[in-house]
Amino acid sequence: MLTITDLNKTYGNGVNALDGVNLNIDKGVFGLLGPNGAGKSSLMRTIAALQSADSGSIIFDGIDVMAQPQALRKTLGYLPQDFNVYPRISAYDLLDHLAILKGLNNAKARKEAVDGLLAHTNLYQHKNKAVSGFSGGMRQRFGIAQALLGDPKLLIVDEPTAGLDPEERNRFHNLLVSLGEEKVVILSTHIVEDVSELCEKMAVLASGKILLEGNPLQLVGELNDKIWTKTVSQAEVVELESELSVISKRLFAGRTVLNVMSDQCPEGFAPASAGLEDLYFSTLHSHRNGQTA
Amino acid sequence: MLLSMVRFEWRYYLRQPSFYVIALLFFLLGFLSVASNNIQIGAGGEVMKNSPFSITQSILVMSFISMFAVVNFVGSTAIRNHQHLMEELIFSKPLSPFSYQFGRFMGSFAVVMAVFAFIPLGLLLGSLMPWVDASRFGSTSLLSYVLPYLQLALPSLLLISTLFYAMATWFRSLMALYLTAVAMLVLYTLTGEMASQPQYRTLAALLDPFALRTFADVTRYWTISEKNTQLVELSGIMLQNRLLWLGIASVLLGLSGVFRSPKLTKKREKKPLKVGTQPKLIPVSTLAMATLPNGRLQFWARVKFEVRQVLLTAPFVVLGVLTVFNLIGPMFNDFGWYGTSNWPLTQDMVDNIAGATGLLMIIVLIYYSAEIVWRERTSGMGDIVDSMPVSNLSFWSSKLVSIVIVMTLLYVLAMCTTIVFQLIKGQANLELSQYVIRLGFYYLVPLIMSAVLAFFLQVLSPNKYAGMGLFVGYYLTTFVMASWGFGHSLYNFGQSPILAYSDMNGYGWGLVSHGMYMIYWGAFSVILFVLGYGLYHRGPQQSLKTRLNLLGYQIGGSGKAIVASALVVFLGMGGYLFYQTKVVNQHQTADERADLRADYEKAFKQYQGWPILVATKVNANVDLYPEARKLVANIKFEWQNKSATPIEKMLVQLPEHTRGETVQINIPHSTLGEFDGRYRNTWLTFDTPVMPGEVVQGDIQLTRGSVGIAESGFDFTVVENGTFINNFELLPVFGYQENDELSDRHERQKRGLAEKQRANKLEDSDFYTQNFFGVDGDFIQFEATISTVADQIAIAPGYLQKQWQQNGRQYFHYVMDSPMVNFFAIISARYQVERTEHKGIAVEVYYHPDHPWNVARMIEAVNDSIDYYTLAFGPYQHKQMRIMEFPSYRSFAQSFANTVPYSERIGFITDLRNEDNIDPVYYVTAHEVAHQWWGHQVGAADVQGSAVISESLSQYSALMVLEKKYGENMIRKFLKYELDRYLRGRSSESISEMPLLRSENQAYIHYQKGAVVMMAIKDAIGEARLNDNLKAFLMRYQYRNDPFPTTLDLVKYLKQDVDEAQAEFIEDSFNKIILYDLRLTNVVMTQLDNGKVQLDLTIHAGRKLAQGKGEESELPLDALIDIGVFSADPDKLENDSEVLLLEKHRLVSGENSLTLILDGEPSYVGVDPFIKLIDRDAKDNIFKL
Repeated sequence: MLTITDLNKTYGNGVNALDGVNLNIDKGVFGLLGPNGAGKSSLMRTIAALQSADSGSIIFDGIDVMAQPQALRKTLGYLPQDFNVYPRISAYDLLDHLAILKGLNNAKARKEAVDGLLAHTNLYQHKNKAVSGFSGGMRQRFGIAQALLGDPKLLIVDEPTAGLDPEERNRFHNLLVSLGEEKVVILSTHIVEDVSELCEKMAVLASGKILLEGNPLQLVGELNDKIWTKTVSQAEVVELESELSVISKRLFAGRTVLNVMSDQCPEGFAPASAGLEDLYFSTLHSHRNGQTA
Repeated sequence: MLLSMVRFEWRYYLRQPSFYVIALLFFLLGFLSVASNNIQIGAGGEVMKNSPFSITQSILVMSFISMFAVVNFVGSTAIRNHQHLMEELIFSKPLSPFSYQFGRFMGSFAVVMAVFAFIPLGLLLGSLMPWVDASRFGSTSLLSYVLPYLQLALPSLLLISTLFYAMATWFRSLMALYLTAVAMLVLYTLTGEMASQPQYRTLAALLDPFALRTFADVTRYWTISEKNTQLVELSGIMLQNRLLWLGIASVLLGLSGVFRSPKLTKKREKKPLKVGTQPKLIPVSTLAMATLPNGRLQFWARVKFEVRQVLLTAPFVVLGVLTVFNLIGPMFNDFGWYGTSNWPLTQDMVDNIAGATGLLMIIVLIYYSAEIVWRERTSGMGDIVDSMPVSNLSFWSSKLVSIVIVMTLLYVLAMCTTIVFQLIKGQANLELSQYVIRLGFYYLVPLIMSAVLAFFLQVLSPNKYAGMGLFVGYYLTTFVMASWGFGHSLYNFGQSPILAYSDMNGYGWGLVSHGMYMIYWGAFSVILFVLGYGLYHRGPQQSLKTRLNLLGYQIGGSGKAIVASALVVFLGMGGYLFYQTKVVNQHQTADERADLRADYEKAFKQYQGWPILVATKVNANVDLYPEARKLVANIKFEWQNKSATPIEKMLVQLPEHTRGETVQINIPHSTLGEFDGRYRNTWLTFDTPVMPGEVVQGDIQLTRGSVGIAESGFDFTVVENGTFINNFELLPVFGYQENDELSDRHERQKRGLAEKQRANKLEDSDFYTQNFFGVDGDFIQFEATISTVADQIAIAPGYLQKQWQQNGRQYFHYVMDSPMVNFFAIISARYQVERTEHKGIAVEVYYHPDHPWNVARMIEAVNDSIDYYTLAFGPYQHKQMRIMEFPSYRSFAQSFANTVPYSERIGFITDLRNEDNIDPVYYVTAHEVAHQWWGHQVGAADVQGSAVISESLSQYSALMVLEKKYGENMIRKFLKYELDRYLRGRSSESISEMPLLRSENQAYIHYQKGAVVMMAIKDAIGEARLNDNLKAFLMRYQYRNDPFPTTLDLVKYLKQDVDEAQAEFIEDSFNKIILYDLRLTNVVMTQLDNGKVQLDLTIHAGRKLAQGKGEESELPLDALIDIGVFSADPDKLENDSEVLLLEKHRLVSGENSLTLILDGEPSYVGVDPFIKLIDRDAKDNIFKL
């Protein structure tokens, strides 16, 4: 459905935001995982025809995005990473306004769609309040509602669950999965859990490059028997970090749990079952090492 | 803590580029205003550019502009934390509220002070530049820069800063600050309106937050020498004004909570509307529906949205309120001529709206173009909205349409306000079409173009502040284009040579020429619109360079085609208009005109004084073609050589709007040369010289007409409805034209010309046989045949002998029965006529049918005037008196023999319903009728003081008629205006004030001082004596040109049969500039035993002699002067019973003591209470008990 070929973008300040990105994305929820500043938002915006690329092409369902942005916009739902709203305008009015822009011309059907989406995002009881006065989570939900206007075939959601409480997040995830049955949904996030919960396919993006692409389960499978773990004190961490390839460390009950990747079990370490997180960190780890080497 | 806050703010701003930009801007403003010879603030004529007066004026004027600095520094200090979301960080620190808030305020105020200091610095350095015109500068005094800055500007800055800091702390929005600025400007405008009427001046001086009106009030009567040497002190009304405003500002500051702990901005949430029950969840997929983006629907949704975003905000409501306030302020009182208003005609209402909204519209353009263009970016919603399937064109055009709607709504609001006013005032003829055409086509269309420009500048800019800056920069250049020689509308975006509306002549040719220019600028705006569209930001911000690279792609083929065709229209129309205005009609810049006049003087001055033929008999045949703005004249003359030398040849000057090739001058044995293209003159050469006293006959034929489109120099004399042209405008004039010489000393000096005297010396008897109308202003026999279109009436001096129709045209034949001055007019319009007869004299008023209000009053004034003048000075020389109205392009009334044309602006539209007001219609009519005696029966020699004989005597005559009808109280009211205008007139004198005897065409002397002095003489010698003397003067010089009288002769006659003191008073009044200083310093009231009241008055009396530039010296005083005792304010006397006592007492220089015994208890005492003597401060003449 969505084919991205050799996409490059360098900003005026010299940052190479996209560096030869190639992706093939089919229906379903596609997870785009990467650290802050990896180029995720640049890629999302480029797909959403909000900014141009220096070279490369994006084809969605036969639409050349660069040449026919207007055609793409008709079928696009987009939730930017951070956004704000016009002041002094109620949720219903604003969504209705956006619905007109989207092309929902029939007034009655539009009202139904707007009310329905507000209900889906649990905002119905707030529909007459100004969106600018919403809390972060409510505003995010409004963003989701507007992205779903007009049944888009391509749904791009950039860090959608930031600021949502766990209940809302679950609710939204369910919605995404159900939408993914008939749409291309691109979910960009830096939260590994989101991807592992939702996506059949994923890619890891860092420094504008795709480092890894595939089915999360398969990819994680490749790491089996390579991840080892040990709980140590703060003092030991520095020493171990210099000796071993530490891919992650986290705190547990005041002590540090180290995960290392190695073909053999290092001394004092116990085998650990590999998770997506390990895969993500090891990929970034080797990418960084590759850059410094 | 306090100091460290001050230091923090100070350092913060020293790091901001805005500090340096504004400081530089202020420096340049100051510097250029003195160093450039094109710009002038305050100075002019003999007032030096570095005089204390000019420096103070400049500094005060700039304190307007300082508002922007104050907004930038003080305002942004107040809202910075809020804007940058720092509030929670800062306010959680342990702060002492006072030192925190006050320290920050003082810090930013220190920055404002520092920045503003660059203005006096610029003024000082500018005056020291080597290239400046040294004749415009006096010696440099540092104090003149420092004191106004410290005493006047700093309090202004402090109060503006305090006010803005308070408003900003209160509302925490920049718009609140802009609106405060606008409100202050509105207040300033209103106080200006008030200051035009003497009785409101003190109030105006008190209320002006910038103290400019206060400065004007204090310096109103300052003379040239005072302006060059004196500084305004911080005392009296100036101190009161400063204290009042500081008080207001500090109260606001206190109320705004500066002295309390800072608090977070409150979030206000309106109670939301009730929400219905939540619908059942329908799966998202079933909510799905086809998206069919519909451009029109999207466009209107966007328009609705943008308009809503603007309209439903406090700033817009405030703008609306300000608009209405600005309009109705002046409606509450009479601010018209002599304090009497006009009927609220739509032509004035439209002008008022344009004036009241002028600055507001600029603010709308600056502020809302930034808001609207950048709305998506600033609201943070850009990515969402821009990803919608909406074309850029819908976004771009809906934004433009919404700002247009905002401006239109402001006009509609203003229109409703004035219409309500018109209806309240009983003016039912609303002329809605005029509102629509003038507000819409003349004003709104150019504003729409300005909006396109503002939008275009916004998309060029990296942020909205830069865009606003660019537009403000553009706006400022519009003020100086003309002084740089680029005043032509072709070089001034959105401009056209707008023609004022006249009820009589309607839009005239204005609609066509405005339309042409609007096509020209419209095409240019289309180009800007398309380019702006192509550069419009969509998605995340991109640099201008990137967007320029994509421009061609963005606008596409049709865009390029539109730009190309608009360019063709722009260039084509531009070329056509250039040809029309520069080749067909010769538009000249002010400098070009001045150069031409200087060159003319250099080339032809040598022929001044050469004798010319003087008309003695005129028979005019003039055919008017009003709809073509054309006339064809064939005029038979009898001329005489009245000089002592033979005439071999004489210069002939072509009239305006007449082409040389249409002109024939047929005098036997003479040849007319070819007219010079530049000077528009040629020689008429006689084969045999015309001998002294010889009479020749001949005729002049010419065609006058306006062709094509003109930028300037319109012909207002021959128009579709309301032609009014006099003989000097119509005919070629003979001889060197001294009137064409440059008069300004500096302009002459620049072009290497010596100083010019304004009038011939009083003692120069060479000019005693020349009338003040000029060489060719002698008495003639006159007749005329005028033809015009069928529905108009044509008029010329004389009596109608015959009227007939021929070929669908109207013909009128007029013959004058007695000799008249060679000064005649030809008039034609669609008139309604009111004919009456008064003692055998036909009195007729020819007026525009929509202006019937004051016709009866004019007839009454004519009747009363003829009666009084006949009795006082002798009979009226004609059997007829006619008044006719002409269009408002020119606003004066002028007296021809038995014919007085009045401008539409004077008299006909005055609202006389309030009987307490001065009746200017009655006054003007009496004045013009008086000219039939003074000017037409008696001429005046063409020397200094000539206008005194015609104007001062007509003023006196008119005031006597006015006094008979309205009583002495009305005359006092009137003279107050005249005294004020005289004193202000001498204050703005550009060369040198002359005594009345030698007035050099100085209107403030021969009209205003003339009226005051003549009434004082009447008071001194009595009405009967004065009238007898004037009658004797008139009898001596009636219809005499051998010689014409001068003011010396007049004074001689005035002094007949008066005592020595009176003679001396008359002599001094004419020969010297005398100012009285009378003050009632103390009054003690004692109750006597017999029930009477004793008043002991202490009076300071003095008399000063002033020189031409205002230097004063003491003169001894010993005169009989009015002492009055009143039961009511002498300014507001209703009837004579309120005057308890009015008698003359002898007063001498210095302190005088007087004792008066009265029957009842008075409330006011006054010395010269009715200001019969010229006194610069009339307020201290009255003492309130």
